[in-house]
Amino acid sequence: MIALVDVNNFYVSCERLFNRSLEHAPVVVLSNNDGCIISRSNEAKALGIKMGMPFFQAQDLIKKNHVHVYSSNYPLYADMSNRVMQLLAHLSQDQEIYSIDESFLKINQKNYLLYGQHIRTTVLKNVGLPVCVGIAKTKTLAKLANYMAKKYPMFNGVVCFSETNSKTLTKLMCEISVGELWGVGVRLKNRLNELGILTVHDLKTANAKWMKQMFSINIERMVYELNDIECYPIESIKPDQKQIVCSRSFGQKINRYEDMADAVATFVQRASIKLRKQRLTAKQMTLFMRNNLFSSKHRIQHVIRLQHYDYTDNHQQLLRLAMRGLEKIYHQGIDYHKAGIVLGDLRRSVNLNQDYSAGPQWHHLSNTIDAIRDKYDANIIMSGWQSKDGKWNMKQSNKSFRFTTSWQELLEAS
Amino acid sequence: MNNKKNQKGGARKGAGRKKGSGLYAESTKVVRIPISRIGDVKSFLLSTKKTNSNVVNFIQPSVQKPVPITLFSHKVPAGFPSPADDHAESRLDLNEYLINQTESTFFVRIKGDSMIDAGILDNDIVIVDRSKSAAINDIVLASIDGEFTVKVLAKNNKGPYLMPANKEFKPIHIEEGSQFEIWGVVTGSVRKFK
Repeated sequence: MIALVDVNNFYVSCERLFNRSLEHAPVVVLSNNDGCIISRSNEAKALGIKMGMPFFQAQDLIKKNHVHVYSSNYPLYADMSNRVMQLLAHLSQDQEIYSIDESFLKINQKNYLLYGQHIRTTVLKNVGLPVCVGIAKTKTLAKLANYMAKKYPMFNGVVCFSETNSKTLTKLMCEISVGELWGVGVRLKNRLNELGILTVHDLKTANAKWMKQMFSINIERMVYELNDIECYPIESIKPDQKQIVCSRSFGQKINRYEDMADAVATFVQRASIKLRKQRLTAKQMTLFMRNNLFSSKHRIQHVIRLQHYDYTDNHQQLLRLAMRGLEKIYHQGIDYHKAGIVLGDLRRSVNLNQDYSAGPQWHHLSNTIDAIRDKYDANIIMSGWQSKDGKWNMKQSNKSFRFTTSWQELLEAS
Repeated sequence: MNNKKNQKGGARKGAGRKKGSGLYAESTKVVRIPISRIGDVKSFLLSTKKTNSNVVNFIQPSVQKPVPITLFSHKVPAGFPSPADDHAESRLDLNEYLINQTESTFFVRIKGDSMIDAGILDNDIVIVDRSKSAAINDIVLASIDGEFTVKVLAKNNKGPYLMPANKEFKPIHIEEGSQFEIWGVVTGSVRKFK
């Protein structure tokens, strides 16, 4: 059987673990630059605060109801995610990490509802985060079971398609909109609705071949998966990434070349670390920068695609490439609001000595710098373009401590 | 009608690339290979084409994850192996000594003197394991009304309470209606002198 385990209100739950006074209080977490609301406690949801809502739109609601607001603290969330995933690996035969707070597990048990509860209590006790568990024969149904477990308190956080009362499940499937299914977006939902397929049950009982004709093989598979026929097995080995993106909206507008170079150099640094961590090399880089789409009269976007002469994971080479691109597309007199780089044409790094255009000593240099950064601080070694507290840095007015990744920011107790 | 039809569409004799005119000088076939290995396969084909002999240049397979091994790196100048090589063991690691379950272990900085008789001083870092269940007399990290505190878990006829390890401090009784929980069990502490 396949279980989908998902942390409830993940970012908010992380904040609550280290600040116990937030328990039972309305809490929201904001995206980069404190732009939008990206995680809400149940209390905040009940106040009518919507997912993805721009912070300024929710400000009245937040003030009136004393909602606690946090800037996103990704170092903390990433570490807590790793802890959950590590623990879930112990509790299953096979694992596919699906996102920062979701994991598919392959489990084989006598009593699945009981085992689901065991997963819940173990993760809550050992790591301190609340999860819900959906169990079924296919991924699509496991996702649906998880949705039910989260939405309806009567299930106590666990739904299993082979054990939970089947009448109840059918009744719910007749109520739940087809748009809640895994892989059904707004447009697909609208098209399905036009054909009279409104609920999950409608799609489950639809003719699979007809669905293939009308839409695609993916919808046919979805019908099969809803009927216990597995089409998407657990993929414990992730396919290599196709591209690596590192981009950011700036805390304030940037109109000086040095500030932009600082930002771009930092993007290159982050992207090249990601590249090396996954043992990949890249040959192509896209650099883009644009002004604020909302507050400017004209939309201005500069993009350049850069080609390196060979596959590389070397920070210096990538940086030189990016700076060449920056010189070409940077325009004086524009208030830039966002920029980023995309590394493309990725390939697994092959034999070190043969394949590294820059030679093995360069490879060692990048790895040594990575190791020093890991040991001390991400900012301890920087390229000449970067500054320690860049003007472009994120606007984060209320960030909690990095309780688990920085000696300086440990939890304190008297 | 028929004439018209012949003028449009259909196969034209002699159209298309000639057989064997391609890179490999013979017919080719479409096969599925992983995108990441396309380069390898191409260079393999080219390298074997050039030499046109039985000698094949082997391509290094890509290595997914390095496997750490203990390296016996003693040079053997005159055939005397180091007598220690057979007995090599991995060096002691404090993480291994102090941490039982990595995913449920957290570090917490101590502020204040309330636990000095238990050997926990101001600014020490204690190791907290959430996976352990607290028993009476364990040192625990507890939270009372949102405040974190490290104390000894004690119990009397009224229920659990928290006991400091310093006579100057009073026991903390848990008032009814207050939010109280044991966050984790303290399993050790560390202190640096320099």
